Amino acid sequence: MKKLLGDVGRFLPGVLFVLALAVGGKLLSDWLQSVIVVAWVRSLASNVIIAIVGGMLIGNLLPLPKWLAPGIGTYEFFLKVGIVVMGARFLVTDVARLGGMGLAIVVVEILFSIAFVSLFARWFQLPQKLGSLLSVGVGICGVSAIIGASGSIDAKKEETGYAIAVILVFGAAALIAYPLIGRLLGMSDKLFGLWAGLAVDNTAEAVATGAIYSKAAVAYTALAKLCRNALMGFVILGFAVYYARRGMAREVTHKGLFLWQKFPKFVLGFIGLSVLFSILFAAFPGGEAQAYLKGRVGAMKNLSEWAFQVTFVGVGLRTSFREMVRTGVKPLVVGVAAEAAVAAFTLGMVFAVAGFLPSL
Amino acid sequence: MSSSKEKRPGLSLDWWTVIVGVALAAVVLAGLPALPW
Repeated sequence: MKKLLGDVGRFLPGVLFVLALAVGGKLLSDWLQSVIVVAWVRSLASNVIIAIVGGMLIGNLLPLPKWLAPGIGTYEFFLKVGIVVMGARFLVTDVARLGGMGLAIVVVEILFSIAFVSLFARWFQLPQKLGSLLSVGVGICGVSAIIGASGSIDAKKEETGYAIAVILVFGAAALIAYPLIGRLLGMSDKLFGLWAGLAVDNTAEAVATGAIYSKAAVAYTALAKLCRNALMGFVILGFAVYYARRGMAREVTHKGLFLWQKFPKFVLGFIGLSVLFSILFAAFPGGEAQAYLKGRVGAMKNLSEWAFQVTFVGVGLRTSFREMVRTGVKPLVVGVAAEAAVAAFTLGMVFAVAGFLPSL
Repeated sequence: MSSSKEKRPGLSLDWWTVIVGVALAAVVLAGLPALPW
């Protein structure tokens, strides 16, 4: 009980702070949307951009007290809860169709990313494990994958910190660059959403990038990103076995258990709610019951929107300009090359399969 | 999510996202008024 109260006391101030900024950002955005008449200026005042930019300004310009940090860090929790709840909006048949295709694309994307980043890291003579961490981060899902892999391959703390910093720098860059490229190429919501989900490394930044583009794009981004996250265990296991065979990391004794431990459980929640609501919609194909269900799914959509709004504020608050400068040149060069290559490769893939992609 | 979290006894934070998400969906399905957006 004492521990629980201690935890609440530790997290509550930061959580309230992030929630207040999320609500404030949304209200400010709503007001700006109602007073700005020029369409393109109005699009810059979306709730996503205001939350992220507001978070960046507050996080970098104001001296925030340290006791806010634990609560601010909870935005990833809100993000995952938002994704779980989002599962109710998708028919499981659509998830299976798009997810099946997404998984196939993701496998190609991961193999390409790992091969390319590893090669580039070798050219630039980065430490081998730093190269591996970067390739895991670029190939799969950013920070979570790097943290998961660093423990499994016994990477040094500095290497882990470096890899995370590089991923976060590019996450921040993606928020601006990807929507601009998407607009220049005239990409549809579906194609852009998939591209962002395939190419942006960190889940929070990927969802934010999709949301900046359009509300419809986020669903595709989330689904593509879930496919990448779901494969995290396999890639980390591959690296763990590789380094263990070379005597550079501990042996993996129970591979099945290892995979299960690394599997992101919120993906199960997303699929579970998708299955449940698909069954409910099939059981009540019309009439009042279906209308009620549709209304409830709408309410869940709003819940997800709020959870994501908190995430966007957290992404902004966490983006440290000082950290970007401190990251150093070499890993950044590797990062630039890798991200550009992965972005171009996944863009090509998305266009190549565009005609075969089902809609949600 | 992280290896340090997996060493903790009890449910991981990742499982809690599932529990909280499903619980919220259940409450909304039961009739909780929609949050304005």
